[in-house]
Formats: sequence, C-alpha cells, structure tokens
Amino acid sequence: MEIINQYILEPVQYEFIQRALIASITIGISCGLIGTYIMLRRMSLIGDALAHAVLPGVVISFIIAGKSEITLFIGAVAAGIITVLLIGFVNRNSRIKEDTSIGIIFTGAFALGILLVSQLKQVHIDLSSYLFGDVLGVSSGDLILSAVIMVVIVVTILLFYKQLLITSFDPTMAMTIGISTTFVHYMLMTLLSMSIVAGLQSVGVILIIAMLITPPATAYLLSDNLKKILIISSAVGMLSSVIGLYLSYHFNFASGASIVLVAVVIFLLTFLFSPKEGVITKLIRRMESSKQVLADDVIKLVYRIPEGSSKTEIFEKISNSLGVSVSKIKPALKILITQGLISEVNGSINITLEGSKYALKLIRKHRLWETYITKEHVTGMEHIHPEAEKIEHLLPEELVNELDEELGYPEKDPHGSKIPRE
Amino acid sequence: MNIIQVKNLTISYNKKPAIKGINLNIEAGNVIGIIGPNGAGKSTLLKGILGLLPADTGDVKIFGRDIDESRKRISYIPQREQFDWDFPINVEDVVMMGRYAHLPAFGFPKQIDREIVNGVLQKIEMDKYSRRQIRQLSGGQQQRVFLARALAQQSDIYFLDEPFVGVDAKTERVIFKLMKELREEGKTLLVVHHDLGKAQEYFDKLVLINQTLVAYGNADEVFTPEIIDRTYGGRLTILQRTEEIIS
Repeated sequence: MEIINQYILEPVQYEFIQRALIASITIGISCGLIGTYIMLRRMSLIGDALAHAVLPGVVISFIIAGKSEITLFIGAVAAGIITVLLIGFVNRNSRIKEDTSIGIIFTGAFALGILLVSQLKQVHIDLSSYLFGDVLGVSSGDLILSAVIMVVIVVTILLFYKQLLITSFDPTMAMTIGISTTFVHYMLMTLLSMSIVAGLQSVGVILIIAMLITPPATAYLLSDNLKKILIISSAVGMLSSVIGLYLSYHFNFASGASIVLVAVVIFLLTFLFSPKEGVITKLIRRMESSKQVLADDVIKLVYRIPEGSSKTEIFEKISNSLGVSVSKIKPALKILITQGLISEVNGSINITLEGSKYALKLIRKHRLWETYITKEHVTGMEHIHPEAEKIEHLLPEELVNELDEELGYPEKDPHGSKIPRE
Repeated sequence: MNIIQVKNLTISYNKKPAIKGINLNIEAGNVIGIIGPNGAGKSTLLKGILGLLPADTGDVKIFGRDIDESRKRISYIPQREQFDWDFPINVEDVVMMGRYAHLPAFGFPKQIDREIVNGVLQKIEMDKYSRRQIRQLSGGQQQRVFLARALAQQSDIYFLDEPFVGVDAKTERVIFKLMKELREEGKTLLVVHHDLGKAQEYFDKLVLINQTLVAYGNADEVFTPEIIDRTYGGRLTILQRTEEIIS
C-alpha cells in the first residue's frame, strides 16, 4: 500500500501529471484504434511518412497564428492530406513505385519543416518537443484537442465500421457494391493525421509510428477477431502510455522514448508468451505433446503385457520395444498414473478400465489410418505403419469417426488385425 | 432481353491493350464460361464489365442501365490468391459482407440478414465452420465461403473469376451444383475458366477471347477445334502437327 501511495497516487495530486495522464490515455486509444487499420492495410510506411510530414504544417500555423491549438490542428491535418495527395500524384503519373514516392515526399516535407524552424529564431518554437514529445508539458488546450480527436476517431470508426472492414479486406468487392475505396482511404488518412497531431504531444514526430503500430501488432498476436483487436490495441496503447509516463516522471526519462519502450516490451512479452502464438508457449506445448506421445506408446504396450507382470519386467519390455531408456519411461508412467489410465499396486503395474479404453482408441486410430492410406494409395505398404504411428497421437475423435464412416466400417486393417470399435 | 450489353470495350494497362473492341450481348438465365489462353484478358473483361477498370473506349450496360445503378443486382467472386488470409475475420463475417450491398450506409446487419447468412452457410455445408478464422480452412472451403458471400447478396448476375482453381473434388461438385441451381432460378453466371477439359460440361454458352472476341455462342456450337485453335493461336495443335511430321 505504502508503495502504491508513494509511486502511483502521490504524483496524481499535481495538475501537470493529471493532464499528462488524461492526454496519455486519449492518445493511446486514438493511436491504438487508427493503428489497427494502418497495420491491416499494410500502411505503416505511410503512417511514418505522415508523422514527419505534418511538421511544416505545424510550423506554418505557428508563424501565422502563434501557439494556438486550433490552427496547429488545421495546419497539421492539411499538411498530412497534401502529403497523401502528392504521394498519390507522383505514384500515378510516373513509373515510380509507392514506397519510393512516399520516401521522397515525406523527407522533403520534413526537411522543409526543419528549414522553417531554423529561419524563425526570433519566434520561439521548441523543435525538440515536436520531435520527441513532452507529455509532462501538456497544456489544457492540448488536452482538449486530444480528447476531441479521440471522440472523432471513435465515432467515425463506429459509423463507418462496415466500410472500413470491407475496403480493408476486399477493396474489389467494396467497389462492386458501390463503396468508394478512395473516400474511405482519405477519411482514414484524415483520421491518421489527427491521431498524429494528438500523439505529437506524447511521443513526438519521430516515434509516433510506434504508437500506431506496436499496440495493434500486440493485439493481433492475441486475437483473430477485429473488434477484440481494436479493444486490446487501444488498451495496450493506453497502458504503455500510462506506465511510460510514470517511468518518465520517477526516473526522469524522456517521455516519448519511455512510452515507446514500454509498448515494445509489452509486444515482446506477447510475442514470447501469447497463449496461441507465443514462441515460448509453442515450445512448451511441443514438449508437453512429445511427453504425451511417449505416454501413449507406453500404454499401448502395457495394454498388451499380461496382467500381474512385475515392474521390472514391464520396464524391460517397454524399453526394448520403444528403444528408450528406463529413465524416460518412469515419467511417462507417472503421467499415465495421474491420468488414471494405469494403477500401481504393491509394485505391480495394472491397466485400469479407462486405460484399456484409451489404448483401444489409439489402436483403432492406428489401424483405421493404415486402412485409409492403403486405400488412397498415399504410400507404399512398408511405410504405412510408421505413418500411422505418428498420426494416431494427433487425430481428433470426430475425424476418426468420419474416417470410419467413409471407409465403410471395415473389419480388419491391411495387416489383417481387427479394428476395435466401441 | 439482353441483361449485359458490351459495346466496343477496350481496356489497357500502361498503354498496352488487354482487351480490344469487345462486343457482347448476354441474355438472362445462362451459365457462361469465359475461356482463352493466359493473358487473353479474361479477368480484364470481367472487371471491365463490372466497371472496376477504366475503359479506353466502349460502353457497358447492365439491365439497360449504367453499372452504378445496377450494383445491388450483381455480385463478384474474385480469385482466391488476392486475399490476405491472415486477416482477422471469420467465415460468418465474410459472408455477412454480401449483405452490405443492401444495408443503408450507416446501418448494421439485422436479424433477417443473419438468417440469410445462416441459410447460405447451410446450403454450401459450411455452417459448422461459421466462427472459424479463414486461414484455418482448406482451399476448397475458402472458395465455398466466397460463393456463400455472393449468394447472401441475392443478386441476379454472378461474376466468378476462376472458381475451380485449387479446389477439392467436393467443392467442385458443390460449385457445379450451385451453378445449375442458380440457372434454374433464372440467374445469370459469368465464369472465367482456364481449363478446356470440362468447359462443355460446365457451361451453356462460351465466350472465347484472346484480346479480341473470337466467338460467343452455345457451348456445343462454338467449342469446335477450329475456333479453339483460333483462340489459342494454334498452340493446341502443335501435338497434332508433330504427329503428322513423325508419321
């Protein structure tokens, strides 16, 4: 409690922290939502380009109207749209491909912005806060701006959910039913420019692309449902912004860098441990399944060994026929005991009723598969046993029943052994 | 009545014409195959009729009107390769897209739309997989999902681009059966197809093109060695010619 008080609640009494927190949350949501579509439409390059290209817009609006949130917003969004139009124009009217024209236009616009700043020494404009962001210095005007931007983004996505989905997934079909892909494209580019304007305050021009891409990518590893991805993505955006902000406050880190690094750490953790696709998760699953394969092989043998055999006899037989050491068989037996498939009483090992059923199922899968691949001429007679040895551990029950039906419930497998059925 | 009228349609990519001066009048209630060699402009013709590509010259009328006024009555099934199969979308949501043509701009699917979607999923035997992400389907199942989407659109003309490529025997049967059923209901199907083998079996009428229109008519009338030879630029007869040389 003491620690929570000191590190988390105490800073909140300062007004600038309150502002920074709210700004972080709104920006996290805005970028997380728009970024999802940017990722799905493979437009991360143009996202990065736009972030840089808004700089001259920001500077020009500063020259004209001084530090005003409204003109800054208009200047940045206008610069964003002009950039997108220019990229499209170069792309359409020459042989130059899109990635190259993006590169030319955005570096040009960014350079123009820097040049304008360098010529305006008398007007004080803090270039570094635009480049790297400064969430602890957010003004209440900035705050209102980023809140309005978030509301606009949320409402637009709700209203145009259908159009965004179909133009992202299948633009050709969208056109055949009369949905304008061009309109949706420019709408998305406008929203993107807006989220960039908001994000300028927290992470700045250079790193904003991270807030647009990393949270959606994290969400994408966790779900294959678009609505869930949108929600997880904004949650990750929000979480990394808030954690990054605290780190920045306590350790005096640059706020933008700290927010982005938190987002990347969350991504890496997901990449390694996500329940479906995590690299480590898959590794663990593979190890577990190889243990189960051995246990399956063991129970098939125990099923065939006469009841009442001594433990050493059983170990020896299993070890000989599977070609594995006794030290590996012991853990496999343990798995089978915990699964209630075999029991150990006074040093002798017996298969339970459940265990017999389980072993029969395995044998059934094995023999049906042999019958199937022989019938379909998938492989020669000499290969069917090793093939079935592998597949028997993997076939789900419903598929086995389907297989049985398709084969017409055969009595015997190609080797002449009876196929067990319940 | 001619439901599709194509007049002098020419479409180019980078100034190179892909199809030239195509004239075509298609009447309702047929399954029509569009066949020709690779690069003959089969898909281009389909997309040209659908108004998806800018035409150099020519004019297309569907139901006697401009294509933009007939969009609710047509559906298009693109080639399978063009999709991002990792896209976070499941079978049901893909098929629901077929209903988008009939929903108001800011409207969401209603109960009736969900019923239609369930109905077509059952029809193509994919109802068991309605919650599956599309990557986790076989090639044939994927093709059936996109057929289901077109069916959910409940349109009058169906445009299919290579529906038989890379599908299993079951899907081939399902597609073929479906094509016949739709024709019975008075619908019209235009199908781009590259395999000559089953052309006569699948289609009532054939459009044979190689940049220009070579022939259009009843399958049994235009599927002659002479016309196919003209369409494929004599490539098919090399075997025959070598046989002559050998003998």
